[in-house]
Amino acid sequence: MWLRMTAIFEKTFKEFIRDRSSLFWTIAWPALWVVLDCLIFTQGIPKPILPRIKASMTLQMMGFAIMLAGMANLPASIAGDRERGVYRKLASTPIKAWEDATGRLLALLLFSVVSSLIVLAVGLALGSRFEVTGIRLLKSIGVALLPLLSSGGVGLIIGSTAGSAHSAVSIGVGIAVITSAVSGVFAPYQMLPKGLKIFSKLYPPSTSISALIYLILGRRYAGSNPLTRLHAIYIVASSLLLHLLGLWLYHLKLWSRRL
Amino acid sequence: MYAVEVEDVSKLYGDVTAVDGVSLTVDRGVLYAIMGPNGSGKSTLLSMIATVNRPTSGVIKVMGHDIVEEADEVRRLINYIPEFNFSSKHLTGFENIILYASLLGIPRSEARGIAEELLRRVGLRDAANRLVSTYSRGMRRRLELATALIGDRPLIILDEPSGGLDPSMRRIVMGWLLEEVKERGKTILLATHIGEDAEAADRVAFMKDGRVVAEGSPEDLKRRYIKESIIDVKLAAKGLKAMELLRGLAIDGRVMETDEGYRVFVEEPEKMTPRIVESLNSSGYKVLEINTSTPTLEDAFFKMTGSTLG
Repeated sequence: MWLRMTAIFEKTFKEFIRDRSSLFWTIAWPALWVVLDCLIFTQGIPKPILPRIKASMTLQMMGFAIMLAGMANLPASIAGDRERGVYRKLASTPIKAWEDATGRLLALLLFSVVSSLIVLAVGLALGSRFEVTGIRLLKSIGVALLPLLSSGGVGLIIGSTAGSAHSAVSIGVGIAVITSAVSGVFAPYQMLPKGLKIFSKLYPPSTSISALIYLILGRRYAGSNPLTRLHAIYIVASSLLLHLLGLWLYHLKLWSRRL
Repeated sequence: MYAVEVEDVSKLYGDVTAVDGVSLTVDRGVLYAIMGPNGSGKSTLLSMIATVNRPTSGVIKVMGHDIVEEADEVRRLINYIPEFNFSSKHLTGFENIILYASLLGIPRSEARGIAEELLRRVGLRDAANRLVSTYSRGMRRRLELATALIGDRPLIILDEPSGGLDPSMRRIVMGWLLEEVKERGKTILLATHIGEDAEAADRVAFMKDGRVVAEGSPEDLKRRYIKESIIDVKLAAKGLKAMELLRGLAIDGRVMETDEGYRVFVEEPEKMTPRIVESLNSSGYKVLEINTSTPTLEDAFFKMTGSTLG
């Protein structure tokens, strides 16, 4: 079991880090946004709050990197494998569908950690400052898994239905960019019109990124409190539901015909 | 006990019948070829034997194990190579072998030795640590064929094994497969639309429109279906009129188009050769070469089904 799962994990992770175009979209692009945000879009901000404003932007782009990994890299890998007949080969080996899915999702987890740490390093180099320790740090890590869970769910849906790796990347990047733009991942929550504020609170990836900012930097930077008891339950449940929906579709489209 | 038993198996995709009531048996320790044009149902049949697809009806057994009831057991006995380029282009040749060895449950320490040996056997030792994205199509196919030999499985199922290979490499690959059968006692079941691949087999099944239409040894099939002689005509340029002329001279109008000309089925080649040349020349076609040729499995398939394999 472990041997097969780690084989898929290793294959998927190596494919993620060796595919230059996905490296650009998932790591270079969010990192570039941090550079632009920190150097250009922070003019005129009072010095005492500047490090935290930059930290907020860095967290948003870390979230965006996680969204891209889940929504573009994962489906590109799945659709590419389906295109090349890899699933036919896998289906004839003793691997179980859940071992395959777990291997892929663990690769996504590691890749997301790597990409968000690179974005974090860029942010820190440009003056972002965080003061988070102890329990709050552990809670933050837990909350950071939520955008990964929901984006991974969206990625599983795209990967299971897209016709090719190319279209999977296009659809995934498109969804990640557009939904980020309208849900406050790119812009401060306070600047969104009323309708989009509602969307931002309902869309699992954006509301969990907002929860992360709230937990680390406070309400002022998150724009609202997404961690009320009811909303916290909603974030966890909706992220989980989206992920389970993705897993169900993945199984249905790629594994259910196997004996 | 047979290596493979297929009993009245059908596979339907909606209204489309991909495999239609196929029955066949494959003995252990033989090379068995299923030959047919694209879309004849041979890949679907192989994928069912490889536990990838469920038959709509009928029974398939591999080494005595029912593929539906005992799929996990069957997967421990087979190594299936699908038609597509399934190797990962972002991994090296070596890493690809390790991946598929791990999926078959072979520990990493053992897999390394297997990978080195297999890459040497298929002539990819020097390219072992290069990414597959830098491989030619033929190198990639050789790598994938190497994965068929991982784990010493008694049944190897190959879908179009020589796809993407040039004729000389194709012969080398068929040599490796024969070696697996003769020296290691393995059973190989392959699907192909290339007659030359099937010539090396112990037994051949012709498939058309989802059905097995003939079965036997290559010599058997040729003897059974080709009573007449075949004349190979190479022309400077082919044309519809040339085809029509040759059909008029052939038995039952049986003329098969080839890359450079036509193969014409005739009764008395000595008499027909000058007639063919004269007829083509008088219609403005330049005959480059004309020979009486030995019948092939492709000829037998054409004679039996009326269609070519291309």
